[in-house]
Amino acid sequence: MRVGIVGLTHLGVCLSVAAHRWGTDVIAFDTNPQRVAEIKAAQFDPAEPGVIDFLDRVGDRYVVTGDTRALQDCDIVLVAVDTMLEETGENDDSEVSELLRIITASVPQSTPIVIASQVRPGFTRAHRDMHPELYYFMETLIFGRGIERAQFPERYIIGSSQPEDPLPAGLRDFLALAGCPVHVMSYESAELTKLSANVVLAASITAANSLAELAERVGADWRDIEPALREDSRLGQQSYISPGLGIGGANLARDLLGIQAMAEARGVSASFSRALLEHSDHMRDWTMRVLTRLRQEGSVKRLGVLGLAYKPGTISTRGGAGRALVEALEPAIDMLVHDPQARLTTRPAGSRAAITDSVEQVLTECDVVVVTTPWPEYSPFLQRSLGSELGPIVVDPYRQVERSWVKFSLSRLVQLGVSGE
Amino acid sequence: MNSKRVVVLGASGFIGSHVVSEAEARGLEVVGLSSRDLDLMAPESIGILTSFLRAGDTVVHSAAIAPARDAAEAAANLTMTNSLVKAAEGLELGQLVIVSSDAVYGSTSGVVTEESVCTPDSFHGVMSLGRELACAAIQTDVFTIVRPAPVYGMGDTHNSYGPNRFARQALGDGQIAVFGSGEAGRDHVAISDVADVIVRSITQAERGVINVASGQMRTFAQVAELVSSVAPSGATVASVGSEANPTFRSFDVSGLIRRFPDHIPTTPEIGIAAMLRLMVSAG
Repeated sequence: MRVGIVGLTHLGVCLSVAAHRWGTDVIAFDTNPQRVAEIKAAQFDPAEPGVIDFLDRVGDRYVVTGDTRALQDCDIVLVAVDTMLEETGENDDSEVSELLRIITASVPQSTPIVIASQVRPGFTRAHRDMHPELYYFMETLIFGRGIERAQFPERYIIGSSQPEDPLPAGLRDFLALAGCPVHVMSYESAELTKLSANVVLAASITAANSLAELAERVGADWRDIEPALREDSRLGQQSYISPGLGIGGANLARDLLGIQAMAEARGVSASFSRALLEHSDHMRDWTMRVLTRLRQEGSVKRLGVLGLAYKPGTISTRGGAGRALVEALEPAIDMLVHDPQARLTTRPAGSRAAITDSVEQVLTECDVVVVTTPWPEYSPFLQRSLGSELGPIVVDPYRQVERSWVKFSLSRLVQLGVSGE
Repeated sequence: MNSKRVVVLGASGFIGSHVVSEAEARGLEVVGLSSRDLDLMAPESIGILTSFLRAGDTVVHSAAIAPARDAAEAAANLTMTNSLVKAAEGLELGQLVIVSSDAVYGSTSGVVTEESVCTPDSFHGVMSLGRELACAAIQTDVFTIVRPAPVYGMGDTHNSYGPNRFARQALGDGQIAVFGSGEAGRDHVAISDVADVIVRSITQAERGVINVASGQMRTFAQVAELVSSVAPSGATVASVGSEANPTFRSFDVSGLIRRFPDHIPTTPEIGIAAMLRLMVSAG
């Protein structure tokens, strides 16, 4: 079996890896010659563990190309370019339209073309005249676990113009490779299923966030509550109930914006999505609120910032809590900043932020330290600091610190969802 | 070409007078106009103000009857604002700061941010939103809307339910009256914080909506306790009537801190105690 994958960003690459591992021949296509060259040279990293390694070792049954003619002999072609979010909250699916236009000239009329890209409901039907065998495929990838999710899906959801008709052979055979249940429904139902799943997850996270903040105020500890909730079979072990600084993940916020825009345009109440987004903004400011309170109490003379990267294991600071904190407070407070890998660019005039290579120095010289990136290497330092009699107040939004590390005063640890008393 | 002048309307009022002193203390050129200088209710005030204002002026509009308790007071405030709008026609101001109120957010329980939807449910709230809307018609380089939480401090003549009234009661007959058990909660902001933020918004040319609050909600019972603990002869806290439906209003001040990292909101404990000591020493 030969599978064409069109659009080689995160989604397309993960699907192509999965298809190859199932034993199919893969034609990986992209219109961007530079992208094609990078993938051929195993130099394209969609921030997904395992991709570079895979590309490095893959054999000749994985063909990377910028030539649409290579798609002629495929049994199925998936369009899988990642779509970008517009200001309005809707997906910019113009690139999907453009790719469809480019490939339909080469793909035979009888070969199924499947849209796996995230598109707004109505997109597939609006494009069905471009190809007689057009389908929608709902992806459920998670960043960081993309290949695993592509290779071992729990079910497939397929949108079809004739859901009651049997699927064409190429699509049916492809879907059989993963050996999971297949649900066929209308285009619109399948497209909306994708958004619905993310909104339900966002709702769950928001519930946890608002309850965790309440726990802080009533002397409760969300770390006791969370496992108890997971034992409830109606909620389940996999439920999204770990609190964090907002609903996290660009995709969830994107889908909420998408649902909100869609609901408003169709006269359906959008208050629910709006409330989730508003609460996410509120949680994003949790650290700032804690620091404001500590500053009001006069206990922040020098502020330590541990972590600039937006998550452990990366050098990117964009969207990182540490960078945001430094930018907001550097004119006002003396700061000492550390990150094991990420670097801070030159600071503006008047900045009171200094950089250090020593975690130890941050923990000994500052009176309040915020763990803005939960790098695992911070753990022993934090454990030692909280285990000694004197040391800074540690603000720990990601709950990296174990409660048992605190040997003297619990007021030295401020965590999301945990009362300080 | 821009004038460096700050014109404060309502300069003898509670907020206006503090803005004048704070701006002067920061070395700004300030002209305060009070109702004695210029009665914005009178139609002829429009012409007088027109000839007074200059292009590039910074205008702080704090002229208002506050709180507006009925339609007449609300109408008066809109008339005064309309006088400013008419006077500024054909003029491009450098900055317009309108001193509004958190009443625009209504009185239901909840956490307020600058993004909160305005759902006023009182004459004061509807009027405040009306003043903001009217001012939006004024040509200005920078348009700033300041919405303070309930304000306390020396010079407050309003005697609304809260820190100032409690302080007067404590220093008077020593009886602080709270509704029900004083369970309702508010964010109480010090007048010095409000003046500080308004003047900073001028020196930094900050635009848009700015909520000014302490970021810390206290119940009226807590405020009464605090006042009684600081009052030289103490005070007793007594319950009058009931609070049928106590509401809890707090502020997320993250936006405020981001704009003004040097502005550390005064906690109610520090601010209310300081006010009481000032009141005692002033007799």
